[in-house]
Amino acid sequence: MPRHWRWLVPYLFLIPGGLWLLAFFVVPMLVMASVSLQTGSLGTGYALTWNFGVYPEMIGAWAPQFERSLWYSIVVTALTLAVGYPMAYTIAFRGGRYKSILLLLVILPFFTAYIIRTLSWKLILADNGFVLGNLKDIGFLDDGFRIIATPIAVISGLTYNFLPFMVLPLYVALEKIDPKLVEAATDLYASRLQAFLRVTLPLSMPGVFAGSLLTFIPAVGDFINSEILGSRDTTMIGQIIQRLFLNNNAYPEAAALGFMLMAAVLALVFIYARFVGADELTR
Amino acid sequence: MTKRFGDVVAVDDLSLEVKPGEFFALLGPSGCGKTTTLRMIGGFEEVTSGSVYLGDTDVTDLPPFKRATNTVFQNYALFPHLTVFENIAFGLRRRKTPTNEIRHQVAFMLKLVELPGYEDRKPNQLSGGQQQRVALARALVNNPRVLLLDEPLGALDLKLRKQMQVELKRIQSEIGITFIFVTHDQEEAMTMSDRIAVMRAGRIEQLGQPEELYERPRTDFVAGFLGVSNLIDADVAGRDERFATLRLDGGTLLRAPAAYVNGAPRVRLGVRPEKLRVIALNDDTGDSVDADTNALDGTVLDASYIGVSTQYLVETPDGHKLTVYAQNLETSGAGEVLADGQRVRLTWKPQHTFVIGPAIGPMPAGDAELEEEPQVHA
Amino acid sequence: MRDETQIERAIARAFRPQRRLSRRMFLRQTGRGAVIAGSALSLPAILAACGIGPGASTAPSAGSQAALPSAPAGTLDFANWPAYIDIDEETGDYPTLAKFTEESGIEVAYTEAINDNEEFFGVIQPDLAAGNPPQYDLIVMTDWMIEKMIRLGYLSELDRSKIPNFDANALDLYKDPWYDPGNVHSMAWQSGITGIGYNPTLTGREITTFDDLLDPEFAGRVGMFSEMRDTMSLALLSLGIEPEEATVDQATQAKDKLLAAAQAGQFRNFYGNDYYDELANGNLAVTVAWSGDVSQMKLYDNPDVEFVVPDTGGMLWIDNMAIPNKAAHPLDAHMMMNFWYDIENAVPLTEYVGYFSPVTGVTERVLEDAETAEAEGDQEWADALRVIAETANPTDEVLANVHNYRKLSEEEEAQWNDLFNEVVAG
Ligand SMILES: Nc1ncnc2c1ncn2[C@@H]1O[C@H](COP(=O)(O)OP(=O)(O)OP(=O)(O)O)[C@@H](O)[C@H]1O
Ligand SMILES: [Mg+2]
Repeated sequence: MPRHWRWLVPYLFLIPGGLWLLAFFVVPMLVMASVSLQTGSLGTGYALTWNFGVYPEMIGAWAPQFERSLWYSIVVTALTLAVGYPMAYTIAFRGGRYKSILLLLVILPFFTAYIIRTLSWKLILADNGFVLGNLKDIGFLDDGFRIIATPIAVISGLTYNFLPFMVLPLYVALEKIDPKLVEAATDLYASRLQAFLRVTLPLSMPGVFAGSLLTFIPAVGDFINSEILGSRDTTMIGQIIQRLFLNNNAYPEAAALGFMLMAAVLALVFIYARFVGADELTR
Repeated sequence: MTKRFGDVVAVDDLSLEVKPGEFFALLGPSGCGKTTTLRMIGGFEEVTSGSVYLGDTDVTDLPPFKRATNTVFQNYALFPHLTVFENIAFGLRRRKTPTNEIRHQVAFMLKLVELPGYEDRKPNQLSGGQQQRVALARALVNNPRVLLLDEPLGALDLKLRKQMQVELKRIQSEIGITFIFVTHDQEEAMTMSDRIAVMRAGRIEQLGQPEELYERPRTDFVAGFLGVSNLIDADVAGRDERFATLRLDGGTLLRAPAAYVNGAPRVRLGVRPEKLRVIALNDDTGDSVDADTNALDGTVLDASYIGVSTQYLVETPDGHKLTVYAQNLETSGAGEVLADGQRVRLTWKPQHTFVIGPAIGPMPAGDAELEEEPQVHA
Repeated sequence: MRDETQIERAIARAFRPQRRLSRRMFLRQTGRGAVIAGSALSLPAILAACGIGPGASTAPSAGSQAALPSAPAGTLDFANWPAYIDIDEETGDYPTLAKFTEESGIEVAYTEAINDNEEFFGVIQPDLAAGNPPQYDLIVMTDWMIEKMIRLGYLSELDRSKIPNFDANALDLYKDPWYDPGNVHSMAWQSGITGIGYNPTLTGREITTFDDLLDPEFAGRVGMFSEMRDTMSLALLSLGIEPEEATVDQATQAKDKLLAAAQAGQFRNFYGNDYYDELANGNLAVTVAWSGDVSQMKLYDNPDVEFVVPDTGGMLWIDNMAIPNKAAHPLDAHMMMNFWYDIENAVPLTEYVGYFSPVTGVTERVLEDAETAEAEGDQEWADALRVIAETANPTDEVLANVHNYRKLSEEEEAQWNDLFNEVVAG
């Protein structure tokens, strides 16, 4: 390649990924955008009528489920972070030669189908299953107590299912931190806690950021956990989209909701990045 | 003190005293336990047995952040997410120093290490030498009683290294803090330190001032580690007030300061290559040797002209090979170097002979007396 | 209940000698999950949505009878619901289908592609709308969907001369049905009733009517169906409204009634197939249920449960075989339909799937088989067959109190869906 074309080389490497994104992201997005603006019925056919009205209509109809999904996902992200950080920390700094085994254990649930894992929780936590049943038998719990079909079950299920998505990036970020830096901090009069807060935590922020996104984004759109572990009162937006799409064949409405969900997630991620600092990511 | 990692004894019953204001070096080959010793002093490594005192205080069980020591780490360990300013201010902030004071002190330190104007840079925007200086400033700003430096110049190229050696020495004498300095570079240790402990396999092999270690090494290891030595085994043939007479296996008699020889019938004597004089032997050269001089005849095996000096390898009749550095005082070029196969006589002053042996008496000018209380004592 | 938890039961089930029903049971238990996974990930469903453009307007207004070829093609693409045909537990083969291939020489590509009427409709609709040959020659859809597909002109007319067994053997109930007068486009596969399943030890009393599901005493222990037509129709019946004739206003009343109860926390959840587990393990005291399931449950999972058609009325549903327009192998599909109306083939089907059979004489034959099994010492199988025989045909008393779904126009369907969505999503 002649020298003056050299600058092109890095861009050439972008081509395969770019094409992939174009084919599997951009094109479906455009199709969905078009679908959301169509009107009609199966009998008469659909036509693009630029029906933007479907957007406010869908917001009006499904605002509570929307809000709930975002709210659940924020809680789930915070919980996975609270549970996952100590895990990742321990594996990265105290794992020693068991590191790879411990990491394997973290991703072990992935070897089972998502649905089966979630269904198994339904079994384990059944009202009269061996956990609750026994606790009720010894009088520890009230007979009417239940976990399944409550928000707690849905949030716990989501937390459980997305934990590895939080732990892995956290681990990668923590593992990269030179333990000497922590020693240096303690040498400079930082207590263990201060050394963590001033050195380890800031240096692990890229992991926190990546883990939060990997948890939050799929959690918002999730429809499995609420469907299996929840009840009517835990209905999430993903279930609505699924129902409109598959059960009601209400394609424009489903597409419009899907689009708004994506926009909301993008907006939240953007705000989050401003706060946590994308700066942390690009350093 | 002793440090064990499982089966590995990294530091083996090592005992050490360092005086206030001293520039003290721990010197030894890779893996001999230097870092481990330093880390025990700094509190990063638990002591398996023994104790560490700072002045009169037993700090053995104190965590690093409660010890009045600071460390410059082997690869600096600067905080990558903080600016130069914040790196240096780190210790002060932890001790709740007022902001004004911090600004003042950091500025002072940056001046001391000659980096003013670099406050807002991140460590990855600095050169190796600059990072090294920031690491030094970060430790020094806390005004520790003892500064621990673990091969602080190890990552620098030779030129920068020399320059930083001078800098470090200057800074140390300016602020008068005790430095304990780890290195495996003997030249570095020699030029910078007040005293050196040569370590080997977790133990101190010999401890003393640089020239003492050089001139009078007490073990093969020290003799070999610090510079080049010519070593020959000999029997003790007699002694008077000043000198002992040693007989080589070939029969040649040599003399060494009597104080070095202590009862043992067989010893190993040594002499540094630069102490030897080479004289070309002609047929008319007599056997007469000055009574005050040691002499040894041999044949030139190899000669290399290095500019400042000429290096000869000379073999004695009984098979010993000796290295000689001949100053090119009178010669004026490679043409005048003695040819291979030339018979030569090597002469040196008896007092330049050192003796390594199974039984060694106290060195005549042994450890400098400790006029002051030791500051670090392990 | 608590002494025999679900997990213990699952373990017990696992150690029981494998019965012909167990695969079906297993699929029932995990079926709902499979539905979700299948639907969420199915590319055809997504592609279907992409194909809803103006091409659909070319939909023909009425089904047409294409001239059948003189000889079968020798292959057949048959789409059905999971575990809705007899399966050999050991090999996973389909014995009766194999028999069909042996007799006719037609290879059958049988797929369990249908999890849900609407979802499957979404998959095949674009081809049908565009007038392209469909992927399948024979499909099984529920009555109201058959009605909708006929209305959209998606099903081809049957050549009755090629299906003599239907006229000879079909029960009257399945002839000339409301959704397909004269069986021009479809013939029943199996059918059942949507009513109420309950556990008397948990309710403490007999359940007779839909309003019992709304009794505050059972709050939080009541199951509803997420299926719009079943749930809305039962609610309409409880208001004294015939679902077949219900207007949108009346549907709104039904919605209000359901919504009020839902908001008061009366329902534990809205279920698909997974209501089965919840009733079996005692999480639900009373629920909307399918007739066949409850007899299975009684037999294998929980001896206490009972099925009842509410005295306000239950819903009769009939699943039907039909041939989509422009199917590639229509004659082969006709032969397959004829095959199932032969009692020799209808009996093993019913003995495996356990729903109502549309073929005359199946009950008697199942009872005979029960006696044979008993004589051979297989008491467990004999008991199972007796239960199946009991439910292989609805009694006249039951039939007197069941209703059909309403024929909803597309506009009405959208309105009913909107109403019902309000109920299921809190
Ligand atoms: N954490 C540890 N676990 C086990 N063995 C260790 C550990 N740290 C050091 N050692 C061992 O202890 C011995 C001394 O190590 P140390 O790091 O003190 O050597 P060093 O003199 O600093 O060497 P270098 O010049 O290469 O830095 C070595 O044999 C080393 O392998
Ligand atoms: Mg070291």
